Amino acid sequence: MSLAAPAEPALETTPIRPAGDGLGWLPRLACITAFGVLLVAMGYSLSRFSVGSFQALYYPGLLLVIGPNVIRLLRPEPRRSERIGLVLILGGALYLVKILHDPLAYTFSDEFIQLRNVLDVIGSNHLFTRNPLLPTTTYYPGLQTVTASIADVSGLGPFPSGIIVLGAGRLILTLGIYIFFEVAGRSPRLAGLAAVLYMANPNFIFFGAQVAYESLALPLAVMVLLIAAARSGIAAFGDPADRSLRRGLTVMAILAMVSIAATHHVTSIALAGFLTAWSVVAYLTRRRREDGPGPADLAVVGIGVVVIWTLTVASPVIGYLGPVVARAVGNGVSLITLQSLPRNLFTSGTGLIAPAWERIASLGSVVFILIGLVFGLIRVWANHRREALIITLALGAMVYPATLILRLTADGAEVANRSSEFLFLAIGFVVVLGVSELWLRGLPSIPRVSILASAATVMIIGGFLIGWPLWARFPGPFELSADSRSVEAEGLATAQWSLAVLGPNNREVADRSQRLLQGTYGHEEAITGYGDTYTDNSVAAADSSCPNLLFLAPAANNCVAVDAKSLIISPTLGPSERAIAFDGDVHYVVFDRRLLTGLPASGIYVERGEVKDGKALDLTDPDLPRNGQPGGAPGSGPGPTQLSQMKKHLDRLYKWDYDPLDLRTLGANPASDPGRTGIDRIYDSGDIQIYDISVWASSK
Amino acid sequence: MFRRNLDLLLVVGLALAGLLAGLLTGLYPIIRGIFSIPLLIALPGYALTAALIPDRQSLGRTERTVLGVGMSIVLVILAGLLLNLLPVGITNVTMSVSLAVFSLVASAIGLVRRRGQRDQDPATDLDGPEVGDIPEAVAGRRRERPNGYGPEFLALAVILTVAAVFVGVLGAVRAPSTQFTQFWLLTGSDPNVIQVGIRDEEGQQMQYRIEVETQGQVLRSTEIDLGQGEDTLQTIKLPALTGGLAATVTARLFRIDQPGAPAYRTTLIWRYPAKA
Repeated sequence: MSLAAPAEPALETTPIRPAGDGLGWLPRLACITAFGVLLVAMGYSLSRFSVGSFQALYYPGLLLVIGPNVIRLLRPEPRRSERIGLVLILGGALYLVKILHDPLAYTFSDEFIQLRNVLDVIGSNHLFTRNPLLPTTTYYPGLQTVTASIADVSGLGPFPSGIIVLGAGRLILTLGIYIFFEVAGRSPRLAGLAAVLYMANPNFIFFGAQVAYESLALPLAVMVLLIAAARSGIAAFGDPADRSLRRGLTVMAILAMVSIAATHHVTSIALAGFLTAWSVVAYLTRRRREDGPGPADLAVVGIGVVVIWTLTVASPVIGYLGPVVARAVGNGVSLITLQSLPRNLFTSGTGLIAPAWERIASLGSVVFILIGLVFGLIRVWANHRREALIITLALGAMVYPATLILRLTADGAEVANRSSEFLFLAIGFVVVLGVSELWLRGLPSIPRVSILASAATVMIIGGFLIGWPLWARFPGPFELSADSRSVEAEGLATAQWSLAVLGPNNREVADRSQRLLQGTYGHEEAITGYGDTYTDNSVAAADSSCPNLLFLAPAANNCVAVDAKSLIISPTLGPSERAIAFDGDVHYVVFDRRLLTGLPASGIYVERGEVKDGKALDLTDPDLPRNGQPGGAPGSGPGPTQLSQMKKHLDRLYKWDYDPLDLRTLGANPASDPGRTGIDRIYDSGDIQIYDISVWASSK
Repeated sequence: MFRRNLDLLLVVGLALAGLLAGLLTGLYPIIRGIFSIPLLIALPGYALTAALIPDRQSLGRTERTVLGVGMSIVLVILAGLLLNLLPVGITNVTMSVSLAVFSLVASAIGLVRRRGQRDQDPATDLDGPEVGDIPEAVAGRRRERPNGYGPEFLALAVILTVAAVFVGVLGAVRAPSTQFTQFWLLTGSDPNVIQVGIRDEEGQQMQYRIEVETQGQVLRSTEIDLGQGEDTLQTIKLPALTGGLAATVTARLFRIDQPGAPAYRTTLIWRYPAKA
């Protein structure tokens, strides 16, 4: 039997001469979609050259990619093969939208982290090497294994290898969600639409297509889900001869779950959680259930592999994920209990507010999803409350409103954003179930199709706008601490110079963007507060076994995070900064003077925790205009506050070249006469300097 | 029988080709990639699916595609974890041999388990009703005749996609990039010898002047012409340190086209008197 048709009785067919090839309108829609991608590519190119009209090409391009395919999928005529083709084309086209953003190299921050892992595997032929950029990632070597293997076996570089791996992942994801929804809903039309609506999750276009471990684990998890759904259908409706099929699928699901556990923590936990919930629901509804049994055996295996992998290989992840979730929940609770105010939505780290149409589209996306969920949940209760899989999906979809609350909080926004890739599996299905059963019965009228297609398009584009600020959506000139926009030639050349001249694995501190380049192209040991610790013997006698990761450190052994960011953002270099350099064994500081020219787009200059008097740190030159205002704090004038700001700014700018006291008393020119005792300024490329502070690392 | 097993015979052939491509590191990269990539992302999973689920009617093409590609990636991950236990680790040889052997063995099992099965796929009515179809769907499908130029439209779609990639890559290659000059100053193994380096990334031919001084004494003042992407490294022997105190060596880079301007780049290192 086919997985796609587990339950429906075969309809009587009329022998006729096949008139088509089963592809229907797919070739024409493929053309329109490709033209849309071409417009997107042109929009990107114009953006790179700072031509103002780039958005006028980009968004119509996205509309052409999404809209026509959605309209066709809403129609009843397409055959299954055409629907699969359309979903595949849409998923592939949106993958191209990400690839064309940066078609030559990795530029997203998570991609640099994986690049370091891949380079280490290629260099050492072994897994589990230390990654200073994000140590947790090395405990989940699935993606790096596949990417490095392709690079090794094919001779292609890490970048094309990553594109191929994620391309394969996108293929599995788009086809996998289609089949999963088809098995769950027993309708190709519902499956096609639900698969498209899944693409409305804010992370589908960029985050889910970047070379990061979640991007590979999620497709594999979807594959396990479709296997579980197929097994359930076979057990309920299949014939005894299908036992062999069921056995084969079970073996594949178990192998896949082991590999998912070795690829990404949250995905493996979410998969085990979903399978468990499905099994529980199936058990509770066993007397009136109309679909197959739950995947209890797979749930047990899922929990088992997660627990075993976490305890035996990746125990640091407990301390890594725990605080993130705790902070998000704490923020959510304090918001609900009115102890804190919601964060400013649609406002970037630099204070720029998104245009009105973007805010409307984003809110429209949320509103349409909420309305769709209400109708979908009603239909689930009315027609499907005896189907365990659909009930479980409905329960999953009900989590969505809670994530909206988290989006209003500073720490919860990221958790909410990350969870969307999982939740939209449930949301897409439930919303489309409601829409299908209420408005798509029979032959829908053209106005109805138009309205629904418009709503779906708003959901996808609005979801994309929610997840990605303007600066992240487009390539272009350098912006401060703006992920892909901060990756430019000077930083790259500095990292390559470091590797070529200084050699690899030097311990150094750099800002958020340059750290990624130094850690990958420079293969240096970038020091961070979250990745480096030291034993503070000044408090009490310690056991001198301070682990690399702070979150592993119990309070008893005096492990302290290296406060690396202070070496960049502090206006002075006093005893505490010297102590940081000594305790953290910091040999080099890579200092990018552009840090002091504005606010960071991502909200972070170096690391989290850059707070001054309860507000986000601002290193901007007080003489520079900002947000259209003239220089200086608005309304402050040239009073003491302004002078104090200017003094701090100058101190930060020249602290590595001069003792501020010398600077003011001796009247030296810091631009041409540097010289802080013991600090070597060994490299200068204009914006970026490298300082050798080994003398501080060796003595306090 | 041959037709029934054509897919697995193809897997065997491609696995052997992939193995060769993986081992022959001297091959042209594109050729090597074309033959070796299926070995990593398609063949082992497809062979495993055939071995575990030999009945071809049990799974549709779409399902087999998902499981084939997905299980291939799963097998590469598991193979990587196992190979990591070996001293030699994950290399092109160990990975391609293990995947090729797995594909061949799984294909052989699939071939054996397929014996006695039907040859042909069931005939399908391309315009007929499908599972989940509403009655209007069939009528509408028969009214539609959009496929007159199907292949031509698909070809056009491919051309447009290639054009999009071309535009995207061209834009990225030609995009304005930061222009800068790298300037560095380092000591070598001999603390009395320094190296001063310059690299021109200004996008044009540049004329520079280097000035190196220590303890008030100019050690070198040289003019240098460099083209885009060119670099130079100068080695300078330092005089003996006098006075018994630490002193700096400063190297400054000036642009000839900006006379009177302050130093364009500045570097500095400290020298310390030798300990007795």
